Amino acid sequence: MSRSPLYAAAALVCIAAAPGMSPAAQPTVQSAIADHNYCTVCHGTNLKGDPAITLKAPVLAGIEPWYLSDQLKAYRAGRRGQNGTDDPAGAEMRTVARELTDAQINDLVHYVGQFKPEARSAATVQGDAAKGREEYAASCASCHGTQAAGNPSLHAPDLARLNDWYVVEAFKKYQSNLRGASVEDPWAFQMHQIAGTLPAGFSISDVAAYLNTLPPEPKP
Amino acid sequence: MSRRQLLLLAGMMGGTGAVYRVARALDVIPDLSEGPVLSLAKARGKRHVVILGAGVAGLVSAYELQRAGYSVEVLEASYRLGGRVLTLRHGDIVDEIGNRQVCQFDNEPHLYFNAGASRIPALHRRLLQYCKTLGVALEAHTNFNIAAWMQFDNLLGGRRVRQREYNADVRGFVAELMAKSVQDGTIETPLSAADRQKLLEFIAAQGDLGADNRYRGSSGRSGYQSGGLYNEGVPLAALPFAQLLQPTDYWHGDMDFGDGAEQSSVLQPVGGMDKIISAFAAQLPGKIQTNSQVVSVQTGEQGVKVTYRRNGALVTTTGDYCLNSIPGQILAGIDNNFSRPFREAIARRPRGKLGKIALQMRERFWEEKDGIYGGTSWTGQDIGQIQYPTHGVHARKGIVVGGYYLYAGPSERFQLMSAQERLDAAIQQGAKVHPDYASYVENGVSVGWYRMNHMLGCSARHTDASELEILRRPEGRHYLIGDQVAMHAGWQEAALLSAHDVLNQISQREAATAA
Repeated sequence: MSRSPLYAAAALVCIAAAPGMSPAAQPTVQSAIADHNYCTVCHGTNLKGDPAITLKAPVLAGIEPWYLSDQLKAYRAGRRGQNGTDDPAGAEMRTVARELTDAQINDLVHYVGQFKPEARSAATVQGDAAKGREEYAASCASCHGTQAAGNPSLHAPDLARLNDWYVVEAFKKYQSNLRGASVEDPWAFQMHQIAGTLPAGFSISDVAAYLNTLPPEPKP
Repeated sequence: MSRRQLLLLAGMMGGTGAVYRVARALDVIPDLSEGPVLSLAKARGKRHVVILGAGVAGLVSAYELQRAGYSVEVLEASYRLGGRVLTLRHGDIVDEIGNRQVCQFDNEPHLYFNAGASRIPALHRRLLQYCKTLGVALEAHTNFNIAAWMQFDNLLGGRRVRQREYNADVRGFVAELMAKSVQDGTIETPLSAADRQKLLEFIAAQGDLGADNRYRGSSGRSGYQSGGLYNEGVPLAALPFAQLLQPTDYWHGDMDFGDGAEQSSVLQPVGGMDKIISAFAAQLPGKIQTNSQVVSVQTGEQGVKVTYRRNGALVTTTGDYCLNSIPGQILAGIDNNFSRPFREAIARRPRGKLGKIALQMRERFWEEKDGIYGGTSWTGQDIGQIQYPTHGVHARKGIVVGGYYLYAGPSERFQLMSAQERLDAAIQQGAKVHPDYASYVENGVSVGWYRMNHMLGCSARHTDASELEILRRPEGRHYLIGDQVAMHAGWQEAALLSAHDVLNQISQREAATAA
């Protein structure tokens, strides 16, 4: 059974069921923005991600608080998700984040932290894990760590906990200017530059396949 | 016994479904609406059904099952009922993720906006029958009105014209060409000379042609420059034919909008489409729980276990059956033990991006100034159309649907905008159809179904029937319901068809178990 985030209750909007209810019972727009209920609609009810092809919402359970906070701020500032229909999933996330306050972001980070990863997300990407292991060691491990558990001091997130399809998609966005193209976000910019200069033959699918072989909870 | 008495009796015995079947058998109701006819036998003993989603499909399922002696519970993730049946009034929330709004319409009964379902074609017999049974008052909805405008930038220099002008002139010019072809034998017809003469007369009448079979403008179909009733009408000159052939969405669909499923009379509930939802809900006291987001569905051959989150706590319930109308794209993110083909199929569900924008107008200028009572003006701009309310005729104010974006390009552009940006765009674009549009606008709301909470999409059409087969197949005792499993999604009737189909299957399954 899932661990229940009790914290969610306080902010949930609860009003009368019947249509045509009295306006006095309505939530305000401000209270609604803080409605954490939104996260679980797209990212899966236990924040394990939603693989629907038109949604592509990654697992959030287990996400590092600093990384989530950074990314919500990047969405808010339009440094991420700013490419409209070229990056529909990013654009959707940007609409959620664009009016968040710092306090609300802190609140959300705390809320998401209540959800713990239960098991590795199901493997969906086909790739050569052995080859991916070498590629990872050569090109990724120095920042993201030998066990892909991430390195906060380099702003490099944990890759091992991610959905494999998300690893592939995110990498392709870095490669194609959809993510990290602005120097205003130096860490993302760095990843963008690296993605553009990897050796020929580097296959993100192989790397994703390798990440799938790592133990589910690699962190100490 | 009269037919009426027989139908009444059938209603008392077996509810709406029985009335429908008997009426069909008596040929009182022509079978215009294909699909399963409800046949749900009384429950054999204690049977509990868990229904996920309080939209039309979920509510009708609960209503019929309860009537048949099943115990039911309906779990709804949102604070409100109705799903994509959403009527917005003064003070209502628009729960669009990232675009949450409060509806600022004045608090008047006629100032409402059907943001989702808004029309009931007369072809949709099941829904009409439920309205009748449940006492939902209906009125005519003026769906199509050739007195309304059309405006396309590539046509007539972007000038607006009444649809009747365009329609009359196109009919006239095309008829003239046809008449010419028949006359000089360009078109071979297997007709006798006498029949050819009749054909020519028909073409001339259709096209409003002169005695020489030439078209020089309509005799009145386009409207008049002046006169036409008390004084002799002065006809309008025909629009230039070459201009009329400019490709626009008008002749790619708008023009024959009233010829398809909506050709027949179209109706609407008096006071808003959600009257249907409240009528169903009134039949299900204590059976519906809102704010109950499902986190897990575990199905099996004996029953289905559903876990949901309510007030921060997890609650588990078990049903002999589970009828699930949660949109596939959201269901894919809920813990489940569905078969792989089913899981993959729900994750493949497309998400429709339709949306509507509504504006409160301080005066009903379309009636006062333009003589337009209901119907739709069409434009090639992203808003696509402007719909005028049928209800509240001659009241001071009215709610205009200032944009109904259906197609991919406009939908994507509107989807990315904030609520304010959408209103600004709708007002700016509407001004091409009504030059002083902006001066009438008091406030507005927009609903983008692609991002509505607990929906994340709408009306995505299936293109592949084999996909439907997978979605419709029961997973243990779990059935997916709603318009999402219909070939032609986006209609309440489709949701009813799906519910009836599944209720019939449950009835058969129960009978087989007992046998």
